[in-house]
Amino acid sequence: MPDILSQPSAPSPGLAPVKKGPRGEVILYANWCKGCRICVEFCPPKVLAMDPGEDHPRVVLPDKCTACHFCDTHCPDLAIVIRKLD
Amino acid sequence: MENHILEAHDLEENEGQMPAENWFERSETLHKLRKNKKFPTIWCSGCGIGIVMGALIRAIDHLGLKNDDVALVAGIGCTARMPIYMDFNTLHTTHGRALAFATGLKIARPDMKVIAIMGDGDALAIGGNHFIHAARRNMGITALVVNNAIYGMTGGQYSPTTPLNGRATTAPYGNIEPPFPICDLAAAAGASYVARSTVYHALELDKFISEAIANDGFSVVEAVSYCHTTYGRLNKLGTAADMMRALKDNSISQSAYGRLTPKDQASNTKVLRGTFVNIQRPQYTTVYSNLITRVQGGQP
Amino acid sequence: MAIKLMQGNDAIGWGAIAAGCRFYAGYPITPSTEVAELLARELPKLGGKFIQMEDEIASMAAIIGASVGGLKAMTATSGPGFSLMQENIGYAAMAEIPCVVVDVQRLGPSTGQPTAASQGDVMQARWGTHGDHPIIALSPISVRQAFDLTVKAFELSEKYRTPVILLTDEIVGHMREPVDLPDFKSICMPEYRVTKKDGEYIPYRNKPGDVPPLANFGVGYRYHITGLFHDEKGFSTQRYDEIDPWLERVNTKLEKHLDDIIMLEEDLMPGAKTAILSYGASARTARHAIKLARSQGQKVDLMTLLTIWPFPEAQVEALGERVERIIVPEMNLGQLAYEVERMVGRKKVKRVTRANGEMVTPQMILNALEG
Repeated sequence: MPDILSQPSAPSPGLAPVKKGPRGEVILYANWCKGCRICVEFCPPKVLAMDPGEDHPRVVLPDKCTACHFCDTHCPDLAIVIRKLD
Repeated sequence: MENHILEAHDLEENEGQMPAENWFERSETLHKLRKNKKFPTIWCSGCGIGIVMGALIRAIDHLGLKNDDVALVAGIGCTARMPIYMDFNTLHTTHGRALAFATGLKIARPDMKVIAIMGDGDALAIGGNHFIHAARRNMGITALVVNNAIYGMTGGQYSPTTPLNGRATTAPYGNIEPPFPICDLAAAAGASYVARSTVYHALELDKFISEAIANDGFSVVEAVSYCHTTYGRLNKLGTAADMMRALKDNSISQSAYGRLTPKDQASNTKVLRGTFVNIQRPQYTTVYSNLITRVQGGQP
Repeated sequence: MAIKLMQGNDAIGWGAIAAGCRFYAGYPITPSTEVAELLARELPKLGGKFIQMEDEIASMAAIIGASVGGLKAMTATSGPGFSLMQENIGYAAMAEIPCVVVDVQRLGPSTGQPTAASQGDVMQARWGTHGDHPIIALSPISVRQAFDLTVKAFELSEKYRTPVILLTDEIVGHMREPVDLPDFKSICMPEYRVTKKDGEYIPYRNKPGDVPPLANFGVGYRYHITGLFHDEKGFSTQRYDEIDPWLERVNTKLEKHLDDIIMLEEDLMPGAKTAILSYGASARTARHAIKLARSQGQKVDLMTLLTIWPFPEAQVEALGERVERIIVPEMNLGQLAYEVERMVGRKKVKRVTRANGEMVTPQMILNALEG
């Protein structure tokens, strides 16, 4: 499925450009994370990634965070928090 | 902000440590954790119990309860290790007896919100008797039962909710005992609030736990989870994330179930999520309080 | 109060009320049921709470929960129920929660004979629950003592943060004697618990003092109580440097205060070479036997134990130095006699036992005195 979020939309003539950027700020506390991969596998826009052998996920697409809060409500270790951005 | 990962420090062997940089202040949920306890939690990587803990804290926060007014009473097992991490009055008791301890505490302090935290074995096997009587009395306790269908802490023995034919260390040829329907039991015994959700549906759990605590009488919330370490491994069900996905695929909401044909309802094997009982029934400590008033000569 | 004819079990109920007990949870069992029935009737009059739980295990759990919630709490049972309560008695000992457990002993083992008496739970009171732990057990010999020792049981349980067993029997429990109970308002005991938030609180601190005070839940200290081995804050631990100090403190907290805990009555006469040592219902037999023996010119000492556990080692040892023989009548096959033998040597102890539900008779003791 094409990642339509990563393609800039061309502004229509006469309309102001749509505000882009992340709707949530991702913070991960590595010492509490046990690397279960739930956040990585369930994040809809794939903000997080984790390779085999890594201890904890990396935030690879921070701008794509929609603040859906799936990760921070499903992290068994309370090791990730999403702060809603205005 | 580019730096999303707070620094990982080396943990000492067998020790957790206090988190740096005011991690507790990041959210209301984290705020209610004990600051003098060592983290990370003892549960296996990916265990659903931590998810239930998050839901519980968010529910307590949503209700605006004061920490001093909340008591968590737990039995024995992985689930029962939950209270130790939270900043409330916590009582870790003997296997199966959480509801009996909680009964004494609630009667002594009817003004407190008493929440009993138990696994499926703790609540329904050794604790079965106390479960049905607490429900019968409509004792003002919230029973949060995390059902991972196994005895996890002791290494994977079958429990009263292990599915038929499932393998466990004490059912090496497959379980031959049909499982208890926890919610039906609770309802039949007299609980005034009964609900079930899964750790995949964490926000629904928040809602049910909130409603359960807010209900004055005996409330039961069954939080369906998984133990990928024991049951998952013995039955080849994959990783924690795989079993989480299975909860999503193999559960059905009450409303969706209601739209099925009678034939499909009869053959349904998916976990049914929803609120099954939500009634007003006189709560034990209120009734006893009226009894005291009556005995002391006033008007009940 | 006026003189009343009162049953032992009722005196226990009144003793609990006088001591400030405001929570009872129990399960009916002969011959203890009268304790529950009195408290079911009287507690609500005082704003206290009574509940009949679904079994003895739940009863013991409920009184611990209520105690943690701030109420003085008690349960009453007999042998089979006492057996069921053991796990949670151990919990109360481990978590150091004050509570009183009345065991109105009946003939066992097992269902035994529900309406017959015995003293067969003596060792169970000490070691019924698993693991090394201290315990206090008190044994009244009369209806008035049943009242007084129940009050004392509550005080000791609060002061030493320990479960206390009121180890009585069907005879003392069901006998009726005239008693003139004191005005309950005259019975007061210090508040040993933390009932208000004031500064830091360490629930299981090992120093200073042997018994850290218990803070009731809801007072403002949100701490953890567990049956696991725990550190000073109450959190579970496996570190030896946290377990060893706890073991040391808790297993000596009673030893260090024996003058406060050991109660006994001595009736010694100069020149006595034999003593009778007894407790509970058998002590009534002993008293009668001593009267008969002395009226025949025999010189016999009498020691009546009111505290059974911790065992009055020093006092029994001293008795062993005074006399050549100690006769121990009891309604079991020699459970307390073990302890006496341990202190003074087997050769010095003559057991007079009866474990079929009948009392030891004065004649049996007189025979032992002669032989």
